[in-house]
Order: sequence, then structure tokens, then C-alpha cells
Amino acid sequence: MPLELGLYIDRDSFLHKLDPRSKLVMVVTTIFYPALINNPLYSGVLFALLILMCILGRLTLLRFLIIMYATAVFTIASLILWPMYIVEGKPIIRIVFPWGWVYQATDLGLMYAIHNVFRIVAPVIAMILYVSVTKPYHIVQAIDKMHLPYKLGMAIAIALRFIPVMFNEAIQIIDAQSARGQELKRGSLIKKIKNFLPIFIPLLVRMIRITIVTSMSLEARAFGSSRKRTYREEIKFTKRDYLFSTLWIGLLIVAVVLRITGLGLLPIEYA
Amino acid sequence: MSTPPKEKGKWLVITVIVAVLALIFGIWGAYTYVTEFKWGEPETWTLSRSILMLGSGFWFVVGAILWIVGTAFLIMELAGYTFMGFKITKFKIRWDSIDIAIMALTAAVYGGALAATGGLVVIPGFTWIRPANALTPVFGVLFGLPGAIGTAIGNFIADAFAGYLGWGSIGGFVGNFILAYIPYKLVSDPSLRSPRAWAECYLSIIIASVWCSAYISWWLYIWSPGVSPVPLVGLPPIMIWGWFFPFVIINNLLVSVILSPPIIYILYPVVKNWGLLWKDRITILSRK
Repeated sequence: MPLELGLYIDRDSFLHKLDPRSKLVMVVTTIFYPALINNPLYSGVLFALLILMCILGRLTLLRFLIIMYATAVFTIASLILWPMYIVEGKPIIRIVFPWGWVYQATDLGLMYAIHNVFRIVAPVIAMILYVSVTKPYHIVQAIDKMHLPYKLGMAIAIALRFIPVMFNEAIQIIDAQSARGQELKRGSLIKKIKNFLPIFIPLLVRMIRITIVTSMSLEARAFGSSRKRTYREEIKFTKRDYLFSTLWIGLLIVAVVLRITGLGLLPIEYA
Repeated sequence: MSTPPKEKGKWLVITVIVAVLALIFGIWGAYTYVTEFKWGEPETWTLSRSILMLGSGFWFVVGAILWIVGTAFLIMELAGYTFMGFKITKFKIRWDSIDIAIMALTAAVYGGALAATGGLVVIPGFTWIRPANALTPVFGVLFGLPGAIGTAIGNFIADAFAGYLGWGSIGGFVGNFILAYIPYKLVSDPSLRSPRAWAECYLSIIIASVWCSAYISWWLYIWSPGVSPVPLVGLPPIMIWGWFFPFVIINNLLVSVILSPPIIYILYPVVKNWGLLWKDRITILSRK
């Protein structure tokens, strides 16, 4: 679970030095690019590019594996489900299970399923990469510079900062209650759900206390005293940001061309 | 003025009936899902069958109406207008350090709790429910608008870490806002110190669960392969109305009906004493 490790990783890398807005172009591209095409050969290019970005951002292998683990349920479901709907193409897999269930897949069905795996995984990798290489402080600034309410940016930044804290708090409370003899996963369905009551109450009381302390520290820093925000470290959109953004926008244009020419589409109904 | 005992008794009966019905529906839905549902064949599940029987056209229209109204609620609240009963009222929220901290911390707790409590296995197999979903009505009823927006942000962030992030997360953002917003608007007494408030709480949980699920499902449906010329979602349309829609209702309903009202009841004095209750933090300006 990435939350155990915290979100931002302080490193000196190419991606760390980029403006948060140019990295946002990358995140947006990873959502739209796989929607324009459905050929895994081309969506695989996006996946490969993201792996390259992970290397450039000096993302640890552990964090990358955690992302893959987090998306595993959906990737497996996609690999099983889509071949059941896509019947076009040559049958290449047929497995008869002992309980009578038959799983069969055509080449096109499997290709579409693999494309969907890339569609699911790409935005998740991009988002985790984004928060891993961007300081929460810079995210607030980016939101402000995009003329969105900076208070929203502030709330997002504080939330990102506190998610690992609250995650660890929840784990500690679960451990403490378990030490007192509470068994979370025992009993009927209603009992299992009710078991979470002694977990959520202390967690929320803790949250209320942190809310008060956080608001006091915001007040102490004159939060909201003036409409015009100033920053100690100003983010700047430099040449390399233009280059980086152009790369991702270019990729999106390529996807549009692949769609118009039909090269990026499989000959199936779900095109 | 205290409520007459006869009135109290009436609300108590309504509360018990609503709670028991919601609970029975939730448990029945969860167990039939486990025993009947087959992946790729949603019509095997009785609940899916009933939903699919009405046709995707019907659900498209219902979903569209709920989507438009739900989105209008969000925009209206952000613009400083709210419902007081059936009247639209202008209100002022300070959005000061406390509101920002509430919004951020509700998001952090929701995101953190979703990850920490994970999926609770109903019966060993491919079925889970998310206990942290029970926190959304709590945030709405106690913290109001900042709590509802915090829930939406928290769900969005949790999506990113749980592996669901995508175009559908935009629908999830507003859907989760609604999940907290409906209890915020419908529960007239956040202290839950009267049977009427409990009945309102249970009713609001049922409405919010269905609304949230319909909102997200409609959003997924219009962007799904075969429906949208540019499919941004990777789920087959039949699975959206046949699996996702009932599954999300059951998931939200079951945990919220059991956990949310007692959590609100227990936490109310703490929230009130710390000055975080939404009723103490907004100013009603005028009525239209």
C-alpha cells in the first residue's frame, strides 16, 4: 500500500524539476489517449513511456510494484471480462473448467482486453507518479496559477499530506483494538460491519483534534488574510516544461490521427 | 418545546420500519450477489435482472435526471445558494482556516480509512464491501458543505491509490459529494436526539445511496464502449446497469445503515463542543 510509505518522494530528478502544470498535461493525456484508440500496440507505447517517466522520476521499483498490485483486480477482471463480450476474430483460447464454466477468447477479444488493462493502469501510474515527484506546496501554487481557488488547492495539499497520517492512525487503532481482543473479521455480516464502530469513533475524534490544530497553524500563518498569494519558491514554466508538455500533447494528436485513419482501432463493434 | 409522546412513538415506528427494510434489502442484496452472480452474466443476479428488465433506456433517463439535479446542487452550493426546506436560500460560508481544515481532514480520513479498512469479505470469494463508506453521511450531517466536498476529494484521491482512477472518477467525485450532501440536507437535527431525526437519517442514507450509484452509473454509461464514440471508460454497458449500479447501492447502503447513525449520535457532542458543527458555522442571508 503506497500510503504506508508517504506520497511525495524527495529526490533530485528531471521530473522533480518540472513545473507541476506540465506534469498535469501528462496525467490528462494518460486519460484521453487510450480513449481515442483501442489497439494495444499503440496503447502499449503510452505504457512504455510511463515506465520511462517512472525511471526519469526515480520512482522506486517497490512503489511501481505497489501500483501494479493496486490495479491487479481490475486488470484481471478486464482480461477475463472483455473476451466474453468481443466475439469477433479467431478463437485462440478455450478452457473448460471442472465446474462447467467455459472461458474462450478470440485474438481481437484478447487484444481489446490488453488495451483495457493499459487504459486502467496508465492514469493510475501517472497520478501516483505526479504526487511522488511534486511537492504538495507546488500543487497549491499550480492550482492558484491556473486561476482555480487556492483554498481548494490548499485543501487538496493538506489532504495529500494527511492521508498517510490518517492511514497509519487507522492501522494503529485497528491494532490497538485487536490487542484488546476485538476480532474484526469474525461473526455474521452485521457483526463484521458493527466491529468497525470502535475503529471509526477514535479515528474521527483524532481527526477532529488534528482539524483544530491544523486550522490554528493556518491562522498562525495568516491564512486567507490577503487575496493575492505570494510564494517563497515561485514555480516557473521554463523551456523544458514547454518541451515536456509538447511531447504529451503531440502524443494526443498522434492518437487523434490514429483514430481518424483507423490505424489505432481494432475491427470490432466496441470501436 | 418537546415533542409529544404520541408524535415520538409515530417516528419511532417509522424509524424501525425504514431501518429494518433497508437492512433486509442490503443483506438480501449482498447474499444473493454472492450466491447468484456470475461474472459476465449480470442477469444471473435477481437484483440485476429486475434492474435490466426496465431497460437501459429507462435507466438512462432516470440517471440523466439525477445527474442534472445532482450537478445543479453542487454548483448551487458552491455559488452560495442552498435549500432550506423547499426554498432556495442564500447563505454565507466563511471558507476560513477551520472550513479548509475540515475539508482537507475529511478527505484525508476518508481516503486513509478506505485504504486501511480495505474490503470486508462478505463470504470468501470475489465480494467485498467498503466499511469506510459509512463515513460519508457522518461528514455530511456533522460538517455540512465542507464535509461533503471533503468526501468528494477524498474519494478522488482514494481512487488514485486504489487503482480506479480514470474518467469515471469525475462522476465518482460528484457522486460521493451527493452521498454526503443528501444526509446533510435531509437530517434536520444533526444531534440525532429524536426518533424523527433517526428516521430522516435512515431515509437520507437510502436516497443518497441510490442517487450516488445512479449518478456514477449514468456517467460511466455515457462514456462506455458502444455508447460513446470516444469511450473513456473500460466497462461494458450491460455491466454498468447490471452489476455496478446495484453493487454500489448495496455497498453504500449496508455499511451506512449499520454504522453511520450511531457514529453521528456519539460524535455530535464532540463536534458541537469544538465548534465544528455546520449549523454553527454558516449564516443564512436571505430566502427566495
